[in-house]
Amino acid sequence: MFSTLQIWAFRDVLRRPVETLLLALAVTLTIAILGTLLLFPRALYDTIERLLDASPAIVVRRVNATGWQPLPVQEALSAVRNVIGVVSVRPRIWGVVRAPQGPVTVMGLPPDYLARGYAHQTERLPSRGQALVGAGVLSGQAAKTITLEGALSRPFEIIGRLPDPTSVFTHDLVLLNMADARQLIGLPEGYASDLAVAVFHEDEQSAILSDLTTAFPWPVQCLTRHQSAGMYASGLNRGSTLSAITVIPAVLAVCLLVMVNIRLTMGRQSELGIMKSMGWTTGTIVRLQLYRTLSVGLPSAAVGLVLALFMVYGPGTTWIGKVFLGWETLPPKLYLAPQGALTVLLEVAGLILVPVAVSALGPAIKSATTDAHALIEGINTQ
Amino acid sequence: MTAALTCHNLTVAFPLGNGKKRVVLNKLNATFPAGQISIVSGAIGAGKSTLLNVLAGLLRPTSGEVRANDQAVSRWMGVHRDRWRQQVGIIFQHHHLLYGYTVLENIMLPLIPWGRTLSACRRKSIAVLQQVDLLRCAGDLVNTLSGGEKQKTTIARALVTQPLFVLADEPTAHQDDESAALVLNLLDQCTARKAVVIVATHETQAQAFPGKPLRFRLESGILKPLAY
Repeated sequence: MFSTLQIWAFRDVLRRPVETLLLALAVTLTIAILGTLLLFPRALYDTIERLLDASPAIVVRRVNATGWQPLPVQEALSAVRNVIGVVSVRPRIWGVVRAPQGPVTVMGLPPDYLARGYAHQTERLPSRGQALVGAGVLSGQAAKTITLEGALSRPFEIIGRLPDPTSVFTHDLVLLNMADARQLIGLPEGYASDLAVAVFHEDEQSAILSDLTTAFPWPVQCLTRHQSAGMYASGLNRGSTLSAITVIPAVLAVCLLVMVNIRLTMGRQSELGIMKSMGWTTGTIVRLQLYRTLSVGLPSAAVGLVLALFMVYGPGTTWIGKVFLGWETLPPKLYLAPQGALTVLLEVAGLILVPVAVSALGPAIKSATTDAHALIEGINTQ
Repeated sequence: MTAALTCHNLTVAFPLGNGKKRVVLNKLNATFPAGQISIVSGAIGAGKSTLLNVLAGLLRPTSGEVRANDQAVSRWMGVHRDRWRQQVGIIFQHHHLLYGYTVLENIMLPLIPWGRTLSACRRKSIAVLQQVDLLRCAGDLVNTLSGGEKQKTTIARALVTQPLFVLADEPTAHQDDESAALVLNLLDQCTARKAVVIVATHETQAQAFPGKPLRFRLESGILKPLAY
């Protein structure tokens, strides 16, 4: 399974347990820290992008000088259906009401509807008097009912929690039956909070905006999915900037690691000279150094990457959100996009493993141009 | 073709740092035949170790060449000389063992690049350890050995590959009479399998060699054959 040289390299590593342990710890921690810092913003963007993909292409709200207004459903539907590019329109009912732990967003669901992509994650939709609640609505409580106060106050039976992967958006959300939501918010029959518009093609979102805005007999505000993504992205920039700044010490740590590794290997020049005098070729010595580095570096990198993954995606890991985004409540569960995460992790591993490996190989390659006698005696090799 | 190591106009000069050079070997010509021990003696600083280093390909000559089996090995690129050195067994005056390794591991060291299995390397090394009467120390770290034991380890390491060229720098310097006889016997066995054996030693120790080895004296950078 392993060649003689590989076994020899592994035994070599075990001959210096303290040095090996320190190198392994340094590589593990550097990869874990750098991986966490680079993976966190990526995970947030992946999560938001995935959730936004399930959101409406365009949301239309009626506005006036005092703010947003309920819009008459029939009038709005007939106006928007004349706009070319619109595939379907859905009136939505939602608003903010009081819950025991603070304000929550209430949304009314038609009996047959749940956002695409998540229908399979919820067992059933709420009937009259029932509610599906987000992770932060009753945090830490195993209550079976919740009392909501809006235009009226009434208890609702909790029939389930919204899926964890949606918690970035549904943290404080309560889903109710359409009629319950309308009553709680105090929305008259025939009116909706806004319209969710689906378009034929993603690129048409901005193209039809002007037609959509002028189609209504009252002023409206249209928000596309791209604009929503931009709003979230700017909100997350604080986290990204902090991550970028904290990457600097991690990169300095890599530089330090490389320098220490070079010094350690340079300190073994006489050892390389003895090996060359015994008939070891430069190629064999380079392979030995490579095996030595990889036998420490690969397991350390693997542990470091697992730690980074746990810090970002692990349940209950709160400090990253608190430090970088100021989240005080339960951390949202982030979506693991395999391709994106893999790219980041490979970048991190490469960023650290490659310099460490090169720092170990450099002196071995340099020895190719030096006489074995000079290496043994340590003449002009440092 | 019989193995032989020859020097043609071999010159080695070291810069002294003030623009001058110290010529250690001066246009040296010699042939060291296979199947016979060649003894190079000389005063301290005469250049015996330098000559062995050049013959072993550890050091490049300033001019001239070393030919092994009629091939100019001293002119070869480093990578080829490294590979050629697999045929050479070097017994260093200052041992040059790997500290932190056991005696057995030090002896296995020249066998690793040959691509043999680790158990085969171990078997071969143990056999040589028996020959130098050092089997009891196989698992000891070399830094725990006495000077004589370290030298025996160096000798075992040089002979483990059964090299065609054996270059020994004062191989009996740290040995008692019994061990010295054992070492000389081992070198003599190398000549039996037609290896080139060159031993650098002092005049007094040169007398102890059995049979009729070729004798040279290195003086003022020139190698002179000595008659019996």
